[in-house]
Amino acid sequence: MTTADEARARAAEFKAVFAKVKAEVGKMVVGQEHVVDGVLTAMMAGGHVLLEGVPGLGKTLLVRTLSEAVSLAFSRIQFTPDMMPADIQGTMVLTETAGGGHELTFQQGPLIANLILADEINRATPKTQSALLEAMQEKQVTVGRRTIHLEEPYCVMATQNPVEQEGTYPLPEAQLDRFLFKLIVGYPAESEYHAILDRTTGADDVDIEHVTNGEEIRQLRSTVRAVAEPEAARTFAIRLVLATQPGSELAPSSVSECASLGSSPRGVQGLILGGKVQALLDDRFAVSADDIRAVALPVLRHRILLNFRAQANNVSADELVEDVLKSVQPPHAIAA
Amino acid sequence: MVEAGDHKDPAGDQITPGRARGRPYGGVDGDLEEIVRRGRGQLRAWAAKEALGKAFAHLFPAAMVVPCLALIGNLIGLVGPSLWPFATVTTAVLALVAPFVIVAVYALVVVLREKTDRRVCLALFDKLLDLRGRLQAADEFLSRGPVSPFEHAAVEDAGPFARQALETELPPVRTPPPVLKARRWPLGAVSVLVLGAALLLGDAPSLAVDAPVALVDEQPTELVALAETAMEEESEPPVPKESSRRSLDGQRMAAQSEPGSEGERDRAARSQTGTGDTRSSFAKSSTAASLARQAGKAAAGASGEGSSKKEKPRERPAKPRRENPSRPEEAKEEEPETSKGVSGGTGRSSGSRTSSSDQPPADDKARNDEAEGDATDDAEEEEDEEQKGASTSKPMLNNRKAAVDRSLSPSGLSDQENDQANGRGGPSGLKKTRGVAAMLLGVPMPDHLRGKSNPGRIKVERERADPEPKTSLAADATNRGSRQESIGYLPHLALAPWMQDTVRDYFLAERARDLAGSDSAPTTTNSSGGT
Repeated sequence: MTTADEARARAAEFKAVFAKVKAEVGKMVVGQEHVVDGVLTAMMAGGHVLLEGVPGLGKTLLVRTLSEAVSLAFSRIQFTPDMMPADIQGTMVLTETAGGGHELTFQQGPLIANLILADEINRATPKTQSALLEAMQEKQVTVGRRTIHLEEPYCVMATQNPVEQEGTYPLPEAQLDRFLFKLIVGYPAESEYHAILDRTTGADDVDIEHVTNGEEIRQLRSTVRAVAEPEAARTFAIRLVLATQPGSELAPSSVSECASLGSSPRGVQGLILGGKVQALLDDRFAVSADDIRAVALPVLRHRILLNFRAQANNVSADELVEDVLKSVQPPHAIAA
Repeated sequence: MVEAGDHKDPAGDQITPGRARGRPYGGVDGDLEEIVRRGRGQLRAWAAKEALGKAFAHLFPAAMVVPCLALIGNLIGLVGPSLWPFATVTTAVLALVAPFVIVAVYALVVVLREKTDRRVCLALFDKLLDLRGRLQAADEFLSRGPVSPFEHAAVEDAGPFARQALETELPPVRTPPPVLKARRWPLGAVSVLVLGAALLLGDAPSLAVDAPVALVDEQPTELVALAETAMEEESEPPVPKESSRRSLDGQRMAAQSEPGSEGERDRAARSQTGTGDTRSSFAKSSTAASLARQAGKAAAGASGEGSSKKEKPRERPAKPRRENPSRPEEAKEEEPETSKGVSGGTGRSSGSRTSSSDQPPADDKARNDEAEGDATDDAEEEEDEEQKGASTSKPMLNNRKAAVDRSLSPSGLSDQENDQANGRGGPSGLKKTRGVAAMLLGVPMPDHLRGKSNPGRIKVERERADPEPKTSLAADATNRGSRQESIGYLPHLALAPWMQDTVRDYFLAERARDLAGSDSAPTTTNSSGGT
């Protein structure tokens, strides 16, 4: 087997596993294809996902179904305002030994798993939200003098409700930046309501099978990182990120006027990793500018901090990203 | 959906990946080269058409070039040799052809300067066939040598698409037709008018054909003689001798007595201005200052007569009215002196200054005084004044430096060296600033402030003393009494409007109820009383 054949085999395996997981999730989740694709892409790319949508759209269902399909250690954390970091990281508890004595042992929190569903993450205080920072970036949890390295694959999928803002704590920028994708979950179409009723109000139960496991997902993640990245795609991703930064030469006027902060270098990493997944799904072995463009919106929308003018004029981050995509062209691109 | 690795070419045939053609990567590199060649040709054609379109928009401005050149050349030809060598027909043909030539040359330059990147050529086919950058990526990996398995696979993956690109006919280059902007149409009419004017001027006779010939034919004999005489007298003492002056005067008289002497003097003066070196050499000599100055004056006066005929017509008729014929030379000498600050200054000083504004005001005033003396026809006074000026003040003028530059230009703007820099703020290169001096206070200010005298050293002395307790009487408590007056305004809570209305309604209802009760009670009483 030549090296090219090896690459083809790995790419084919990736695509097959991706399709199987998507099919299993599709048994439970109706519609929301771009959300399912985004969640799987982020998981294969090794990132975390922030799902935003009004209640009842299946955010939690999607993540719970995914955890069943990929056969990973799953834990769900329902964030509340009175939750403390020790509640999710773990703490030392006094336990009784076999001989009748007592000792302090570490009781792991729900954060120590493979797939974390952080439900309504914006209801927790910033103190508790910050407990996720180390776990999401360094893939480890430090409690006292104890540091626990989290097992790969490790993926945090958080949900938040954009409507009920009373009693919530908006995620800080450092927290938002650690999410690879921010996906907006919208209402299903009319045709999808029939399928939802059939699957949820009928007598038949839907069984989700394990179609992959943690080891396979780790291999698929290495496959994603092996995808070639030409200079043109890399340059395009960098220019996109630069264009989100107000004051940059590449930034369109709308960004300079309505954004107070732009994307960080994590944005470039997200664009490239997401683009690699897109290239594999498109039977290609190198990232292209089109792949970067396809993932630009979920990667960049939560990395642009809007200023007062944008909020007063109802300018959304999505509109700014669209402006960036219009203004920045790939290198060596020619007009139509 | 097509699985990765099972690639099919656009025709649907199964493509064997790898080295099926016997060449590395199935000859992708050669295909890419051919694609680049085709793309480059397409892009150049595109650029050429675009450049032609842009250049065509400037056709009317380009049409102005030849008519303007012809007009300028023929205008110069009115006063001198014509600079436009072409005939009328040739000019018209040139005016018609030149715009198109300029447009074509512009487009050619644009095309030749067009540097088509290799990646742009590949991007053209990537975009045309929606290949998502496959050709660009394969070319990049091939140029640096594929390293990873995915780069090898990307190069091999590009093979069938490269062949598809080779078989694809590029669409014809279509650029929008060149448009002559409406606001530039008047330039066409203007160019036609300018061309007509140029052609008319080209046919017109020259106005200055004789003058240059006359200048060339006639030799400034008298001035040359004056110059030679002055050079001979250089070794003599600075005070002019009467004999030399008389000889000069005699020559001048002889020159004046010739017919048409005035016109000849004009021409001689013109030629003398052309030979300024001679005059400047005179002026440089301080020993033969007076003779040189006289020669310069004579030349300058002659030129002044020629040049200032229109400017000062009253002075010229005043000369023949002089009643003292014994000294016509004095009058002739004085005439340029009075009428010419310009040429006189030129003759006396270094010869480089031509503007009357360069002369110091004192010199102008003296010259005006001389003019008044001339008006009074006092020949003796003129003679004395002339001699005095010649012997004392005018030699000093030869050595005079340039006037102090009073311009307030910021320093450092002109960093050129100046030979006339005298270190006194003259026109030197760097020290020109007068701004600081001009901003100094004109009112003298005391350089110190009055203050109090120092109180001197403060001496602090401490004395030991024991504290002494002081007795104090306890005050008895007294009754403050009760308050009899009003305690003043006490703020109360402001009620909300709805609460105010509620309270108001409540008390109104209470009052109405009381009124109803009071009304009904007498009635009842009356009724009961009545009954």
